[in-house]
Amino acid sequence: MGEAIAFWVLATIIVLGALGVVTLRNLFHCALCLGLVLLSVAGIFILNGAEFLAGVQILIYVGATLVIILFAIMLSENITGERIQLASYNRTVGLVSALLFLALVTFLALTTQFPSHTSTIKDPVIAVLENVKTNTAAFGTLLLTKFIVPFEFASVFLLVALIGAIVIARTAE
Amino acid sequence: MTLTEICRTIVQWLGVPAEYQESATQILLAAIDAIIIFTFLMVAVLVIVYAFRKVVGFIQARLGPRYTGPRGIFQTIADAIKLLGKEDIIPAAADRLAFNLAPFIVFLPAFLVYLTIPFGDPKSGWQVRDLNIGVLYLVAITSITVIGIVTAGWASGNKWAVLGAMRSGAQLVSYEVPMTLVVLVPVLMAGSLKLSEIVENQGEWFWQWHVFQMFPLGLVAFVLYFVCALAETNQTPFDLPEAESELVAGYHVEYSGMKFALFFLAEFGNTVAISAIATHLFLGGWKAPFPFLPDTGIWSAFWFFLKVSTAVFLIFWVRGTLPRVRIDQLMELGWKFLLPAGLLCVTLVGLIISVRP
Repeated sequence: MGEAIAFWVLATIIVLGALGVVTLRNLFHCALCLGLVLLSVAGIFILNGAEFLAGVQILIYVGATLVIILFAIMLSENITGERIQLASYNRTVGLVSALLFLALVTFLALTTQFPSHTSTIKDPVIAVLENVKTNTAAFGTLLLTKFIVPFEFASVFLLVALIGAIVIARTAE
Repeated sequence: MTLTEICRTIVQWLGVPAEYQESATQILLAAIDAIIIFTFLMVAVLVIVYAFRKVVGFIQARLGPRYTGPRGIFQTIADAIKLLGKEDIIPAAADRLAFNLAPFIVFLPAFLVYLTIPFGDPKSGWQVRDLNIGVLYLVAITSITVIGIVTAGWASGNKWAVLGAMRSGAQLVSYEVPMTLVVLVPVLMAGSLKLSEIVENQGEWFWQWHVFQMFPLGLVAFVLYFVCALAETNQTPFDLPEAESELVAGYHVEYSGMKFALFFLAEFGNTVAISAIATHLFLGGWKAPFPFLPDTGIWSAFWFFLKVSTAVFLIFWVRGTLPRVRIDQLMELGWKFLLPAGLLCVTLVGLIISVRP
């Protein structure tokens, strides 16, 4: 019951906030709406027992990504001297791609059999979950054993992006 | 009768249908928790502001905090009345909605961190919620502050405020990185993110606390954490937003009255929170320094508050003594010294733990 109330409140905030992100005219207000959406998504993660994911969601998306977006908006407004307005072009293309994405997500959500404690699918995730105390520990164990290659690839990829950004910033000097 | 039973009785007395009673009890409990945290925060800030005025007053020979009423006890009240009496000015160029929202975004994390910080031994009920991701929660929640600061600067419609917000935002983001790294040291030592388990991992004697573990790595991590904490809470020598004479203050230059006070409320709340986190991660939390001293029940709260007060006093001492640094010096210290030192410290602790049987 309490979970249901929490879910519906969070879901309403997410949908309204997401609408705000794409419909508000003032770009800074859009970014603040995005922050609200990201926080509420963290709430949904907590409702599903994924508290580690929720913490990382806030730390990375709200504490880092959103801050960079806000900085970018603030800096460009300072340079151009006028407030940036959100304008929508190519509405047809946008509508088509949005519908395609919706179809893809719906298709995946309906056809995937998600492993859980009750289902019969044997999954390495569940096997690890049964041996450790918290799902944070399961997360760490899986990342450094079964998914070590994608994990390392992501780190190297981020490092490349970081160095690339520094190189570009230096040549501009 | 426990708090849960009292809530259950109230819910029954209100005539809530049987199937919703458990949820209603939980919601009531959560509301009571929120009120407890809020009351604690308000009282803590009241005490802290008085202590701050006194300590800095003695160090810098300021007259007000020492002579306003007996022992300067009315200084906080005088400050509060002054702030309440001021006109609430919103600049014409400001974005009204964001301008009004920003102080609350800054205040929110200062309030939310107390959700998982124990005020004493959790076994005696001195903790609101013992979250599994305790330390991660603290780090994540405090990172929201930057959003409020950037919003405050942008919404003021004033280029000095924008510059101040850039400065403070860069400061917070830069010092968050080494701080998150050194927080990993006690987490690695205890093998848990739960604050209660991190404290339980520290022994009964004071040299078994994390700060003295793996000497000198624990101590180095503590000092690094303390320096980052000073920067994160805008304390001297990193209090650039307060440099009104040379930098036109900072992101809160256009704020007045109670909205300005909210920024300071958050700052003092964060000072207490940072000291409390340092106490739990490095200084043995609610434990007494010697096993023959009592540290159960109310005594656990006594030791916790004693340690927190000491840490807060240390911060104020630094504040009353040191001059402030320039923004480029601040950035160099953060990126060229604190970050490599933090990385090295975490790597060494991780190596020692993985080698040790």
